[in-house]
Amino acid sequence: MTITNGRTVPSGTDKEQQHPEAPRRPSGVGFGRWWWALPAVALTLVVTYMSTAFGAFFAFTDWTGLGDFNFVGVDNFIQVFQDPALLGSVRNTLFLAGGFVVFTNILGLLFALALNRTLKTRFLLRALIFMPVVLSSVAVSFIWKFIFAFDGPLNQALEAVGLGQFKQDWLANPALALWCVLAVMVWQSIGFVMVIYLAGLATVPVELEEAAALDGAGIWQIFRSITLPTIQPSVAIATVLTLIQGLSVFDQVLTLTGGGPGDATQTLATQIYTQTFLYGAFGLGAAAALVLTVFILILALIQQFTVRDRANIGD
Amino acid sequence: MSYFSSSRRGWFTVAATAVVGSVALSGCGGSTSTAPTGSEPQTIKFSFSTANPTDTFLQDTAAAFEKANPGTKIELVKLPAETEPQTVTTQLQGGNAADVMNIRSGQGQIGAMNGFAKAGLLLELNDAEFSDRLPQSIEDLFKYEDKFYAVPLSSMPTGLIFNEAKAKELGVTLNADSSFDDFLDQCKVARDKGVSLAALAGTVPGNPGIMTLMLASSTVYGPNPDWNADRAAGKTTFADDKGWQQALEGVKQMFDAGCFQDGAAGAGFDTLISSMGQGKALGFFAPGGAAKSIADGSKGAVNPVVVPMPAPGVSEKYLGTTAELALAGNAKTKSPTLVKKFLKFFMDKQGAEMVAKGQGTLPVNLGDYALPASYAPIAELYKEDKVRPLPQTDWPSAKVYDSLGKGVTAMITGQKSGADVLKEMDTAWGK
Repeated sequence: MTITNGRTVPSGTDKEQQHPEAPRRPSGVGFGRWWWALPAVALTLVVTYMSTAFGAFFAFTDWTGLGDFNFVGVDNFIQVFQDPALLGSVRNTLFLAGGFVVFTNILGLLFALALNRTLKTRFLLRALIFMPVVLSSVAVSFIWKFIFAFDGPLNQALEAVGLGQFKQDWLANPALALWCVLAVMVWQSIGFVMVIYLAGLATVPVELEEAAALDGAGIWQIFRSITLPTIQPSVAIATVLTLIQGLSVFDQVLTLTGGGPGDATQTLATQIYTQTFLYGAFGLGAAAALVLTVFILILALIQQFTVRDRANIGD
Repeated sequence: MSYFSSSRRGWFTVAATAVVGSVALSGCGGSTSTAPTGSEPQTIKFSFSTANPTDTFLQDTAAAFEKANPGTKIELVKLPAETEPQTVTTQLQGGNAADVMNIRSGQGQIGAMNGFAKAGLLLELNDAEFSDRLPQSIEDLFKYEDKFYAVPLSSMPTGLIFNEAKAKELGVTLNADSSFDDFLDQCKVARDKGVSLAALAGTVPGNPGIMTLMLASSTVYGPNPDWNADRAAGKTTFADDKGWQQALEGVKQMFDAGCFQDGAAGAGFDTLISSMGQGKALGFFAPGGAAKSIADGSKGAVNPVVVPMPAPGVSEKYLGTTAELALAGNAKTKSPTLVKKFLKFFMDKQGAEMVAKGQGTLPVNLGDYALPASYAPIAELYKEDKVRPLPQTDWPSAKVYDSLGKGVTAMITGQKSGADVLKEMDTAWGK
């Protein structure tokens, strides 16, 4: 049997049988023509790739968003890595991305394992944990900003339980502000990661786990030798997505701290916004955007390589 | 007159938005369509934004212009104040801006006149009537390479927006004659009564920034009104200047004396109004228009006054004012004569006073204009001509002012010293 132009043709039929005298379609009408994709391809090229290329072009200029510009070579990139504020934002970005990947994946996986099978209320609990995912990150951040406020519920709760000495100006404390941002990011995304892992856990054969248990394997051994290898594709997806999300964090930082106190919570994404739209330094902003893109690309590739499904290599 | 956008909110929101806009300040976009009745179309578009979304003084002034000039039509396009500078910049660059638009004077900010004029996007205002009506102290803010491109909307005196009635109840005394030491003492009195003398929005650089500029009006720009020119010429720096050091030291002293509310460094703009509304703070630092917005919003229940800010280490007190909000014409307008006529109307006594009354500010040419009651504490400084334009509109980049605002917050959280902040301002100036 062969497949020709989308139609199945039984093997052994002659050429005439392969092309019966069927009524001809009007010319120009058919299925699966390659040029059908042209509008979408053209739109993608113009909207995504051309605009990205233009942005990259401006990274080598001193354009202010108005009028003419000069080429400045790699000056903008040098500034990204020399300006203490910009350099600090690179560090903050890496911290938030790393922390986000680790905490959301560990907590998401733990929740997925806990709510995978036995618990009767698991469907309700899954819904409750997933609920923050559907909320706007800006709205969530505003609520947390209220919670973290000096006279907000968090400090009030600490005082109510006799822990008044731990009262903090959470978002204005340079040592804590970045952790607060991370906490909000993690809180909102645990449900998303949990769902990915739940999908992965559904593929783990129960018989295999039961057999291992009968053979005397403990919970940790079962998890390490059966569960984790089986859900490896889920791990890869979840970590890549959270890494990209963590590297490009913007809403939560801008809403919670505005990048402050000082520049203590600035990230590359908020610096891109600040340089471009508040300082009018479009060239520098474009350079920072390009650096962020390259960061995401490199780290995502490294991370993909690290957590790749080794069992399927060579397929 | 057509008009897009309207909103009705509680006084709390109104006043909060007013303060955000007062400190961050306003603007617009769009382009022209017309029904020509003369040599050029007599309908123009005017894009604008107001700090207080319920303010209608610009609409009213445009309507007064139409009445005074039969056959003309002003189409109003109201833009969100928060994104106005970016919107106008994009529209002007894209060639679809309104005929007349709200911009910022000078050069120190995004959406400021100089950048637009340099790119040839603004209509040159070459009639002598424009230059003749501008006070000399601020005319440089409306000129680029000796040509005029914008007109001021109003003059906004800045100070502590102070709830005098509530302060009296608590035994806190602050007036035009109060020295900086008096101010610090009263901070402690207020603290003892469980309130803060001033609320500060540390997460919004414009708020600590404007507060520090109020101090610098007396420590730097009072003694040397040409300080910016000296800085530009390299004769001085922020870090080396004693006046700037005093201003930053003053902020530190205010923080140490408990002048600000707990958690000031992490507070947003909403805190300014909510603290005052709930009686947790007696005032906040902002342009004087905020006093009118609060009085209007509270339907007269709270009537703040504008108290001039004293500064440390100096005997003379100076008032900082800003003519930051400006109007300009689009270079591509099809009705240049009508645009100029409309802009002149805002400089006429009638137009300027309509704006000042509606906005709670002052005309740039004060003349015999009667100061509102809320400005009683600053009246004497006007009489003595101890008034200085706030300097940030003349700084070369928005980054300088941002470095000041962020730096002050970093100073009160212990991340930076005053010297660090001034060095960063010098670095930002150099870029």
